[in-house]
Amino acid sequence: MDDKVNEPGIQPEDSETKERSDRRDFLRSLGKWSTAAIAAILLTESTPSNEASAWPNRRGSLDGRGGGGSWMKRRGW
Amino acid sequence: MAQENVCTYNVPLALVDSYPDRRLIVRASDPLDVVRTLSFAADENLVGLQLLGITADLEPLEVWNPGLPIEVVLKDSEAETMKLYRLSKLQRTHPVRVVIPLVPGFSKAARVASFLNLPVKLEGAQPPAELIEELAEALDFFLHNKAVSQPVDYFSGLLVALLHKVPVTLWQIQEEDPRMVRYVTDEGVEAVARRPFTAASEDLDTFQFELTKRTLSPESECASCEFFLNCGGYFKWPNFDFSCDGIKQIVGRVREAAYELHDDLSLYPVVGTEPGNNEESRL
Repeated sequence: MDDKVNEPGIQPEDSETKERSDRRDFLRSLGKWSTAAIAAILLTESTPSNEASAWPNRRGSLDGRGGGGSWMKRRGW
Repeated sequence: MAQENVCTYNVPLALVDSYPDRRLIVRASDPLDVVRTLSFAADENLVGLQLLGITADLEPLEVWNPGLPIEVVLKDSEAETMKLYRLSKLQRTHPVRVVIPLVPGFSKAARVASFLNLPVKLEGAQPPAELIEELAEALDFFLHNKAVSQPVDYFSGLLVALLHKVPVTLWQIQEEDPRMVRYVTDEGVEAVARRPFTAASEDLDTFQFELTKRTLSPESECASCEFFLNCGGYFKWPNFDFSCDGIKQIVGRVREAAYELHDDLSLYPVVGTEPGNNEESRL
């Protein structure tokens, strides 16, 4: 994985996104968890507090891509 | 910073003007009234609309303040389940959440809402014993049905809190902590944001402190409860004598799911992610 990060044109965030996507695919392949449950464990480190306690902040994250629209964060119910 | 400046106020449409410079969730029954009254509501202080019913014509809201979160409160969840389809169009321009009262038969509406990709908030903090089994089934559906991609609270918030060790309580998860959200009755009295929305006899500024003090007294059920960190005495108000035996089973199941998710994810680095590779890697 580190080698890939150092390849020209591959940014660390791309690598992180791919890693998260791979983990999501792995959990899906087990066939026992909902998309919402998988999204809950794959939240990025900076977001769980918002995700746990403020609905509009968390909505955008539940497709597993992480982060919500900026307007959601601004309004922060 | 003064408490009122950090709080969000759930106010009736008629009292919006009484709360200038406050973060507001405006509640109303008639979408047309909302559009007429708040036509210039592109205001940073308006953080959401709470619509008290699903039967009114929703069309006026479709082009009004696109992007503003709208929460639709069901009155009779069983009878109104099929009306949830009416929210599909509204979802194109707003994030829409459905509030479902915890009464027998609630899970049908929760399932349909989830299939429609609508986030759900289950409302009702002291569920009677006969609801525990239905809550357990709803939790199982939320955790394991592959079509569920949106939160169902309080399950979702609790799961995130337990998975990531976030120090939040159900008061915050359910947006009922008086330090964060206050409900203003139609008469203009501030109350805890929880049905039946009666004005608290307690001082809302010290409500949480006083409740914690009471719930952690030696004779309280909370004093020896393993879930207190993420509960905060949530189920002990308004009736302090409510028994948590049933609800502890639900919270315990959420915690088991959190453990199991961690266990499953811990397998990831040692197995392949492509179909067929898993068995090979384990050999």
